[in-house]
Amino acid sequence: MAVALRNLLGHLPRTLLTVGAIAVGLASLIFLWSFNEGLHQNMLGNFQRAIIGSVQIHHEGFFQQPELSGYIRNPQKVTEVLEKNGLNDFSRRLESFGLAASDETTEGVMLIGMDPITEPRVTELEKRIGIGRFLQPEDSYSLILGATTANNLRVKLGDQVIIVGYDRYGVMVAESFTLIGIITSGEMGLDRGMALTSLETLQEMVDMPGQVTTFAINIPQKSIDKSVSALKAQLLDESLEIMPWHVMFPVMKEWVTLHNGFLYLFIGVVLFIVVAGELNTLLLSMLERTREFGVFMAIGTTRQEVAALLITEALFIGILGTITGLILGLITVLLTGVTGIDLSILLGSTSRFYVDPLIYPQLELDRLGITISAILIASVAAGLYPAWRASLLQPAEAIRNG
Amino acid sequence: MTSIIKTHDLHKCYWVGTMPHPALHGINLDIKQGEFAVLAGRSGSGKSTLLNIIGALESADSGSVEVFGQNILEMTQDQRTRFRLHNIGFVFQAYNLIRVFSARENIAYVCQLQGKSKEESLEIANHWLREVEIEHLGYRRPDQLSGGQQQRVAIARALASDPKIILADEPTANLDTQTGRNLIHLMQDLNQRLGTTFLISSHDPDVKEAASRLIKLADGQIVDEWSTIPKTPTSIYSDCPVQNMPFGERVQFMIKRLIRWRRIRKPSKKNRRRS
Ligand SMILES: Nc1ncnc2c1ncn2[C@@H]1O[C@H](COP(=O)(O)OP(=O)(O)OP(=O)(O)O)[C@@H](O)[C@H]1O
Ligand SMILES: [Mg+2]
Repeated sequence: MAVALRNLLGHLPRTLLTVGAIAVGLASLIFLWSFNEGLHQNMLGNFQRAIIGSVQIHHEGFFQQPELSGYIRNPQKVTEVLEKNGLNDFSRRLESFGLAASDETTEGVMLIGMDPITEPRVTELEKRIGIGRFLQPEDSYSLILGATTANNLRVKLGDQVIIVGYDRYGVMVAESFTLIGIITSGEMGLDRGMALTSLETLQEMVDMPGQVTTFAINIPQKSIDKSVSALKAQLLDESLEIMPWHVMFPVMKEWVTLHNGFLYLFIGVVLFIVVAGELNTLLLSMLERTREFGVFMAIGTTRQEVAALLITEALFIGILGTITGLILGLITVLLTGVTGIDLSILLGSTSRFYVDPLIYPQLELDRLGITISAILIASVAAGLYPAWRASLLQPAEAIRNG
Repeated sequence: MTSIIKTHDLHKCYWVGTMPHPALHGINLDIKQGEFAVLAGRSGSGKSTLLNIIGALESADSGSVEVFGQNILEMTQDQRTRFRLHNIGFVFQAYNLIRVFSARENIAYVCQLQGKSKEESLEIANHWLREVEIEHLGYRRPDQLSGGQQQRVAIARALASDPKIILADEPTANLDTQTGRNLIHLMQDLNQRLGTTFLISSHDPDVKEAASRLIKLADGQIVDEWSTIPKTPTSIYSDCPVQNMPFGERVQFMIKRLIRWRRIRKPSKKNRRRS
């Protein structure tokens, strides 16, 4: 122990260099994980808050075939169960396919009737309306369109747009709406094919007073899965489908998984560099001290003790590097967690892919644990080979040649 | 007087790749307790080799070495290490102190290896620092000491484990004459006062003069004290068994050697040596 410490102190510059390399490696990993996590949370959060919410409840099969015949038979029960589970951030909607027509042309749209008061608890549509305004309670037959759709229809604020839909029996109904807002989010899925109006208006138009097809619910990320299974259990016999966002849009989740996969690859590379760098230092310092190890053995140190000495050195370096790296990484994460990281420098000012220009890194403890143990294990592993080499030394030869 | 070291018909041949380098050729030696024995002889005569074998740092090809009745050639590596720790003190030509330890710690370290507590070890170290007359330098690291002072620390370290014998390989070769003389006097004094047995290899005439017994080596053999001619003028290569084998066996032997050497030696080493 003491000998190992002395050796490390005796070669301070080299020790510090190795420790520094490990620390920088670990710190950058911590930062990267946190940034990645912040980015994903931000992206997924924005994605869910854009329109779909964290979880949706529909009548069975509605997600695949959104027709009004698939309305929720007992919305009262759903509301009760949601409230009983403390899930108060939900909004009821009536959704169906429709056709938007201007004087010039027509365009297929997803027709969504939403409650102007409860909707903001689930989504942030209001933020994404660049032209005009969001729905208000007293609005009737007001319409919000995506920018691309509005463009294709060549309509502007205040224009009349004819909406054609089908009621639950498949009978065609049509009404005239006033365009009050245009979604300019920059995201394809929102700017194209969305037609929003108030729930009451749509219920009146298709003659389904009080009926809804969809509950969109906002649930904190961490408890989504738990809440979904609770809801499923309590709404068992209602012929409902309860779908978290990643079941509705698996691509998004897959993308995150893939992205994390790249990060694991990166961790592998960093670990490799750490191991290679430390191996290099330890091997060099072992070769440099061949004679000294010979002397150690000559005066009665066993080969196991010599090996243990080198492994202890590696462990010291590893621990020191980990602690320094941890501090460095935490400071970086905490600082950038307060100020945020401005992506607009990299990406330009507009947001894309549901990512805000300002990202706040978030530290996940289990990831931190994995990274730290990996670095520690790697640094000890790097000590094994030099230790093994040293234990094979023949004292007489080592003293003669060292 | 009791024998401390007894060697019988000791042979040793080094192999550099497949090239034999004979080093010892039938050494019969008997060192008694309390002797101040000096090994003399030309460079390459086998002095270091003999000391290393007696000190259980190296093995021999044939013959036996008994130190206090134990045959060290039959020991395993770890047994040898323990044996060295408790029975033998080494003093090297190049001092070979542990760089990162102070003088005191260098001495105390062997006591700690023997299982003594840190306090006791440091006490013992202080005692031996006094014995070698550099009490006041105990806190210094080797690079802050002169060669003579370092060699005194090395002697103190060798004595601290309370060994049966001290083996010193050219202890004065790196020192100037006067410092060398002082060191010899120190060792002589320790030998006479404490009764510690010394076996010293040296070219130094001052060392030879101090010897209570002078053993002369030439070409791996002990020769007449004042003569440099080996008793048997036969080729010393007869030691390296391969020379005496029939051709077929010889080839087999060489191949085995080669395989063993390949396996043990790392190809990176320039000086490939077999011991
Ligand atoms: N590791 C080795 N590999 C090959 N040959 C060796 C090795 N060590 C010693 N020898 C050979 O063995 C012989 C005896 O060497 P040794 O070192 O014992 O001599 P020495 O008397 O100590 O010489 P010096 O006074 O120069 O120290 C020499 O011929 C030498 O070349
Ligand atoms: Mg020699």
